Amino acid sequence: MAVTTIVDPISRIEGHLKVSLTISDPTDGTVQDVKIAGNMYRGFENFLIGQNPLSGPLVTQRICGVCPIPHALCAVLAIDDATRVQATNNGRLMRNIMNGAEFLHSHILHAYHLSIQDYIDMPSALGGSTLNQGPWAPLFGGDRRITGTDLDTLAGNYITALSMRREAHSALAIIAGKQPHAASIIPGGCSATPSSADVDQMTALITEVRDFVLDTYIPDIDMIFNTYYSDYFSNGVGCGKLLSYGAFRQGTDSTNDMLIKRGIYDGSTVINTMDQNLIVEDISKAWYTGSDGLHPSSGETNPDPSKLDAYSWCKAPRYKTDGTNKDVYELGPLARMVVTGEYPAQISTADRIVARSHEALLVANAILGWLTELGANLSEPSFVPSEVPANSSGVGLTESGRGATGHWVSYDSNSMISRYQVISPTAWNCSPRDADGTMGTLEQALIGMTIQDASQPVEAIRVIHSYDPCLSCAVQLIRDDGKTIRKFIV
Amino acid sequence: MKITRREFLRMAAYAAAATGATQFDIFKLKDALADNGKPNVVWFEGLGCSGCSVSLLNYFDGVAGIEGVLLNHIELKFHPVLMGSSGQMSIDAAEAVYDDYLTTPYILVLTGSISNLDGYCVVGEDANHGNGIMEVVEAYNKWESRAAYVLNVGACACYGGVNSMRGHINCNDAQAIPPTHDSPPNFGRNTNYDYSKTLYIPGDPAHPDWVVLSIVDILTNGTLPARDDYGRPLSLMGTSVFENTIHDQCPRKPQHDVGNFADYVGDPVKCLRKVGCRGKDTYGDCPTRGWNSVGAYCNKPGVNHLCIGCTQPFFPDVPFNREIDNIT
Repeated sequence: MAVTTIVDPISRIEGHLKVSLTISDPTDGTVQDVKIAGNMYRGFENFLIGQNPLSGPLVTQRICGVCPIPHALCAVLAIDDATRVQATNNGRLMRNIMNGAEFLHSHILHAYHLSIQDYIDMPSALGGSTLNQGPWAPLFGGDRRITGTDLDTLAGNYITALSMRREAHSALAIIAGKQPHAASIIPGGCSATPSSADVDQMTALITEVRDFVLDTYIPDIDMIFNTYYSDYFSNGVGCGKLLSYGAFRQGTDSTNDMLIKRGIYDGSTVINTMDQNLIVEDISKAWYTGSDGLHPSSGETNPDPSKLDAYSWCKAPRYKTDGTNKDVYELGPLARMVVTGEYPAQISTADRIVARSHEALLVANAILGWLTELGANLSEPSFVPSEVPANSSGVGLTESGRGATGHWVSYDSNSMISRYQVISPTAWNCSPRDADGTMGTLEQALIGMTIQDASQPVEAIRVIHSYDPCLSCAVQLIRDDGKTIRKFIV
Repeated sequence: MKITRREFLRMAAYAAAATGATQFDIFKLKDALADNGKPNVVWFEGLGCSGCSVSLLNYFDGVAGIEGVLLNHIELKFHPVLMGSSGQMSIDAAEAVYDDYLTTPYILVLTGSISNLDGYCVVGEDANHGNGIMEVVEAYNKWESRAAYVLNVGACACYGGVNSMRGHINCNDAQAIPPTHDSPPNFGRNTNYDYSKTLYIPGDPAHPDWVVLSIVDILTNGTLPARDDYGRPLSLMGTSVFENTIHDQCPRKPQHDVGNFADYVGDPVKCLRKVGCRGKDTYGDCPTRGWNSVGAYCNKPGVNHLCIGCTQPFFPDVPFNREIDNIT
């Protein structure tokens, strides 16, 4: 007898996302079909048309309150590309420092406040009364293996981590103005002119966060997955291919010299080249009309929620590895660490979370180096002025906490924005099927996995959270009667 | 680590000291808590970016952070980014708050805009009601009807924010008609909208102090603080919040007064008004309160960018980098 269970919303992610899981046999619990659906449309790409280029960095930050800095950076890198201007050295350093601190806030937030509650029973920690209230209770039961001192340690570190991610934000706000949603990121560099006292304060804050990453964050994640949940090193594999745009330009302000390298892992080999001209967006299962398979520089955004057979607001970005076939790729900290040569090429739910903690240390140490360099050159210019030429275009690529982020912008005869296309990392990771019927990587990661209790599918939620989707998410379970539980009213 | 009620009162005392409240106010707060316990809070997000939730996590009273508020100040029953539960379990928790409103009053918080279009924003599904799908506007209207107080938090929830840019259709109706006391922004949906219990806490994002101190102020006084024409609190716990313009508190104001205007964004000294600063038309306390516990704000000397007016109903008034004059 088929039974239907609906789980909606999924909490502890940002935005709105729906996941439909079809389980053929409740006693077996194997996921047989998956559909991932972006559940929110706002239309940033369209309301930027006709705007002054400088609206780009300020407006596109409002796409995401968790990772506004990478969007601002993509926007100014696209302008710098169109104007053929390189950021000043201090501008480059401050951009690196701001995005690096954003990584630290985002990674700590993901580990402790979005993801760990999938593994630990917060309400029963610390004596069982302190945290037995909202927002920690109620909580899905099932498969909670960590008890005693280890449980209390992790729950206590949840609280400590709140102040650590806050301090990462404080450090970057000193030159950003505020956070979320920074002010100072402008074409040609950064508007801020920090004092040596500002640099000292940022250094003190980042040092404290770095020590937390080293002494607490990395050991906590190791404990969870090496002591208790080592089986999560062998599930949630997904598409098996990884892609990184690279980030944090070093001395030359060139994409050939970055802390986080550009490149792909094609399933067998790391290749340190990635040609953005080979990126296309498939819209066959997305609620948009227009030409399919366009490069984002000629991309279109025509919403049509009545489109038949579509099921998501996410387009499906694909990378033509061999120049022809459209391949699915995974983005994020694991992809970056593998492509950079800092982590072995192994892909799983646990590897995503472990690699993220290792990347936090790499970036924290790098920020301290950039702060030292900035502090020694405070009288150097922060930015160089520029004018966007008429009928020009630019591409801005960088990395956000959860993966490669890109803006493709065209300017008209008055140098106003005539086309704006954004591809966020979650579009890749949570993409729907493409014209070939190939699933997105999260869909592939969920298919075939075993769900113990369909009413509390904590295993699926762990896999979903390992990608750190930047969308609020809903899981919907469909049994083998094929009944669609939920349709949009359009 | 356990944070006790006593520690909370210490925290509240610290917040009060920072904002100039008297010992008498603290006793009133203590009484309010003793009488009513912690209020429940249900927090929905519409068309938004989670930025106001992240901003809330940046709350710091000088001693403790948001954990003090969550452990001892409020019972946060539904919050899409922070809550442990998902699915029906989380919806049931929000439903229980709705059902228990007479015994435990609750505060409803909205961040993000209400979409005018069906299917563009869903907050969750409830298997026990109707077709189960809760559009954000349905959730907002239902929980608003029984809420003791309603806080619209952030530019998007208050006045549309970026969702209303250039008259874009995918937003609430607020931007089309500038809201005033006579014509409050009611999202064009709920004809029974009770403006008398609703506070507008704008900003992109809202400053965490504005949100927490609004709750403290409401608990202390048992009523909403005095509001301006756009529903914003003039002051909280005795200290000005939306009473003065950014310009009035700006260290660059003396430059303005002698006509020393910057001709580019990034000037560390001069008044930035002629290159687009909206500080003269924007109400808030950013220069005096500062952001992120480090005294930062957008047009601060050393940051050198523009106030872009994110607490005003006109936000975002694009293009940002042009001189403007007395907009509302």
